[in-house]
Amino acid sequence: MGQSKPKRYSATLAPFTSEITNLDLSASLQGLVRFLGGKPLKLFDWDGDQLAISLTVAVELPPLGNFDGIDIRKQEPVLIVINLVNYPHVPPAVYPDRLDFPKDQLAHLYVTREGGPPAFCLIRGSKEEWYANKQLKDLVIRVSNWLRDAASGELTIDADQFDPIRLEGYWGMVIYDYDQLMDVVTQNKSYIPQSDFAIGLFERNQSQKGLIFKLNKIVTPANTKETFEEFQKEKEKDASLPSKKRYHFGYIVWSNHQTVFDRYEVNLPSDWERLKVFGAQFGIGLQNLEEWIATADANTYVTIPVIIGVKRPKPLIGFSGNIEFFNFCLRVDSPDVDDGKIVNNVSVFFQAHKQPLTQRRAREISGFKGSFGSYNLIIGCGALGSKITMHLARSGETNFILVDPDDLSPHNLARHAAPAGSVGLNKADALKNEINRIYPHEKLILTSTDKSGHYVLSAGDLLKVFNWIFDFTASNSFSQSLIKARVAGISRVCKCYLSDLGNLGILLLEGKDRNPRIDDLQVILYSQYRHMPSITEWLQRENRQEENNLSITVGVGCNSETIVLSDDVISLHSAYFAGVIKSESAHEAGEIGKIYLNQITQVPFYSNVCNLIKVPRLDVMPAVNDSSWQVRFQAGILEEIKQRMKESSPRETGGVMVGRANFKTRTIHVVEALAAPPDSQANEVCFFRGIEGLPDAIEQINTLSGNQLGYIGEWHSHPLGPNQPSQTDLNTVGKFKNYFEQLPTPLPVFLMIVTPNHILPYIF
Amino acid sequence: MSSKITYYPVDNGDQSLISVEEDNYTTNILVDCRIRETSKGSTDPTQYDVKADLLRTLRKRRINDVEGATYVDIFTLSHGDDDHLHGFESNFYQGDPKNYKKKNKDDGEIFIDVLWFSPMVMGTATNDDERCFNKEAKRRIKLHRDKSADKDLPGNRIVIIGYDANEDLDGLNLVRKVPGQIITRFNDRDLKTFSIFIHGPYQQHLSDEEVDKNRVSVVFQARFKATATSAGFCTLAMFGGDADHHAWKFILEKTKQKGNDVKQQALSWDLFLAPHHCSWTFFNDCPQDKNPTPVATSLKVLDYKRGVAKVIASCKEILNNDDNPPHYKAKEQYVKKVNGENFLNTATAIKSGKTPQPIIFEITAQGPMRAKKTEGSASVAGGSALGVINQPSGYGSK
Repeated sequence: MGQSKPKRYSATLAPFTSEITNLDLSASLQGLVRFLGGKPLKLFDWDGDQLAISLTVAVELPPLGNFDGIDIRKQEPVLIVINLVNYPHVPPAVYPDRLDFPKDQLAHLYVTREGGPPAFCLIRGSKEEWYANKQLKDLVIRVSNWLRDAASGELTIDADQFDPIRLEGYWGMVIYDYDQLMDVVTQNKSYIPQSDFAIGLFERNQSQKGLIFKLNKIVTPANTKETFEEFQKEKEKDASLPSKKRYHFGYIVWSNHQTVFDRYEVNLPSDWERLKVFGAQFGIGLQNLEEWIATADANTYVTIPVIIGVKRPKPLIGFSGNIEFFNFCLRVDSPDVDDGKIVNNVSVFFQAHKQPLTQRRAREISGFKGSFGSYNLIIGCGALGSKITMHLARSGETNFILVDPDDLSPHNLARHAAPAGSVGLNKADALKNEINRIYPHEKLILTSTDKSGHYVLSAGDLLKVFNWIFDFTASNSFSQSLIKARVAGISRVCKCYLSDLGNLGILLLEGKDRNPRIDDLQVILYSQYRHMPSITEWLQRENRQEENNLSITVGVGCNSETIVLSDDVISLHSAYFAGVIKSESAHEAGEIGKIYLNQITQVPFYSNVCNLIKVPRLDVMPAVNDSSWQVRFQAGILEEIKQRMKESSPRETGGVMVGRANFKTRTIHVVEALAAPPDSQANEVCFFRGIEGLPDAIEQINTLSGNQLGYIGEWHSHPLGPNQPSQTDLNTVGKFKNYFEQLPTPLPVFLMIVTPNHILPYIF
Repeated sequence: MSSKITYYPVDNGDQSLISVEEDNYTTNILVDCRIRETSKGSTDPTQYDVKADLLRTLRKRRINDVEGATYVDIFTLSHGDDDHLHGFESNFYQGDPKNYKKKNKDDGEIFIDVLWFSPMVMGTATNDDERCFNKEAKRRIKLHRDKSADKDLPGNRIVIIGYDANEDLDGLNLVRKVPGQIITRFNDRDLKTFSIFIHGPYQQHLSDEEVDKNRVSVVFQARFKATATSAGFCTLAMFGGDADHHAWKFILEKTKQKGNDVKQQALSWDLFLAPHHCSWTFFNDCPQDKNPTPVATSLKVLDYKRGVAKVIASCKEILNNDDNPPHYKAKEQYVKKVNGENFLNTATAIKSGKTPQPIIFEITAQGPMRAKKTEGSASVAGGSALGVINQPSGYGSK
């Protein structure tokens, strides 16, 4: 290529002469020798603990010339540096072995130690994990491909974005929201007008890996007074107090000029003089900051965070703006400043930036694309509710009003999402606190109350604002209130609960305009005994438990120490429910309701099976004679009845209906219309419903549905009118009424007359 | 994923795949095919299994009730000779797309959304695959001529390349492209980083009394941009079927006449698929020993190369003998222009054992680059194609 022979970094290294005792390493070196065609390796002593292999790598160069004219060559000398003791657990690093390697034009190089070359950043993610499945020859291939990409400008994955510098050797970290500082820099929000730095209040924590600073707020002239008071208050607290906050004032510095810089700087400064040179390379002068630190800095501790914002030509990969921040700390003591200057060459170290978790980021990380809207009601923050809520919160969705009247007891810790420190707190409060801790930098639309669910439902107009109403209570009593509640049409109602000793997770999702409603879904779930043997088995088990007078019925609550139910089982259900809720939130409420089932079985091995039952809208009508009662027909039943009338016309016909009545909600559900028994008789004005086979049919329904479903009423047709019950009908009603009232739980008398133009349900 | 051009090793024949990545969709354009039954499976180690690679590489989607049906966005035929169309009948679905069934998928039939062809499909076929291709083209043409409601469904779409005054194709100018035109819409999608400049066939050659099939090959330049807003092209690849030096002379002159060599860089190239499997016909008439001097126009075409350009010879191994194609003297001419290391013979450029491998170019902002080397891994398991399990092995104490 005509270039002069490069000056090698390896020329400064001594040959490696020691014996290699690491067997993995010697095997790998032999493998590399074979890969390179048997040529002996040139080894150097890197630093006593590591050896360096000197190699020349062949690089494919692009046909139309190197990107930006970058000086990458067909043959590139590199050094593979290997830890003598800890290889292969500590993977090798690779360095260019050319002192004129164009390091300031490339992003994917690690920041270097003074004087040394910068290591290639070969892997996105963990080097250790990558190398766990690779050999030295693969490393050579990767370096060759890396150099090929560097030459063709393909190292940056997205050409429209700027790749930030790879940093290593941090001492601690600084946590702030990139967008907040970006706003300060791009809007020139200097503390002193027309200047070039802002002041931030940082809270410090210490870890073994260095200082951790967290940006508390940007200090502005408007909040200066209160900030200083806060600073002073914490300063005066005794150091032994656990509540004491260690505040530092830190600085964000930038250039007021619009010039952008695309050069990379792999030598980060380690003292004040070099920091000034570093800033100057990016057009940033530190004079104003220096004067402020020397004359007006109010810090009581010697460490001062200084964040330098460099203007780049394009937005940074992974961030919203084109400012790349470099995070330093200065150690400035009183003798270090004099006469408006930092007079000693104080030491500087640099820190990693960590972005606080925001809801937006959490959504990105979780890949969550749904939307819940502004206000959502969660009733029931027990084990199941807390876990579902936390799943949603960790996915970035926190617009919740959390409702639960109970306090967290020690036994709840066996299966509640709240941390142990929350014992004694209200469950909704504990959950709210935990979510707020995840997003400490954001103002969430999140609130909690220790009122009961019934109380919240009685709040009238308030109910109209909710996008979603979640019932995680496992309470039939609350569900009945929810069924009757005047919920706005926009709300989507979803109930999750566990049954079958916690093995069956059930999620009921109402359809548009509350049809199907949760009670509809419940009854239709029972009617699935016709198609799903597992439903029959479950209902029969429930029925037996009820008969045995166990306290568990359909819908189990687990707020009792006596219920045996483990955290993993609840987690499995709640993870499934959260997943369903998230995917449902990605689209509008549909015309159909849905029942999601998550069935855990213990035998022959611990496993779960999921099912979805789609439920079309029900036909709903009030009773003709008493509009406080409603009859709700599973889709298709009325059409079936009308068809039978048509087929029998002009003679009357009729039959028995199967379903369930609820006196609390004053609802009758019809899930099936049985055909008239064969011994029935009919003419144009009369229908005598027979009995042949009927008791057996009902018995079977009772058995298979665990007594959840059974006889619920009768219908007959008046093909020629009238549109009302005849005297004969009323006599039958009277007879039935007398009989039903003798039962332990009286049945309502439900009679339905079907005419060519009307369906007329009567409830007595 | 970057856009790619793949030149398959199919001995003397052509099969190339242009894959354009844009907006998370890969538009696949297959240029000719040569799928030999003997290349399928692992029976003959000297033949690369091109069909298996197509099934692996091409996109899949649901067609009718069939999940995971393999399809190609565009199949473009340079001309109907056997070495450019071999295996079409049994490897591609033909007929009403609504009749595509699971059996077609199970039989490995690749569904073609759009068929590109020259008016030559209306002429007489000289091999079975061409007969099938022409029949399929005519089926689609009829839908378009009849203005059928189904004419624009995937599986019925067409583009006719070139004009030959054939009355049967009258009224089809909406789906016709002629030399000098640029195509930016591919399978009902406008692409911003890819276009095709049509160079041939010209009407003059299509209307010859005795049409020379090679001469009327579809000739085009595939043009890639690094990004939608890039000013210049980052890769220009020339595909010329079997076009001979007469056709290329015409192309050179017409393109320059219209100023498209400058305005459109329509003659420039980074990759040049040597016409007619590196035969002498690109340089002069045959036999070579009677016409040993390359015509100036063909040499001029080669001078439009940019940077470190590459010539791809899609043919069997080129030996120093009198074969044609490939012709050794033709290779020498190319090597004079691009140097030996940039002359790539599909039969020998990359081999895995005895098996020639496809030559793949990835499109980068700095031009087409050979695909990266593949890293190995520290753990491994043998596959079914492993030589040792396809032959008996003997053991014993003696």
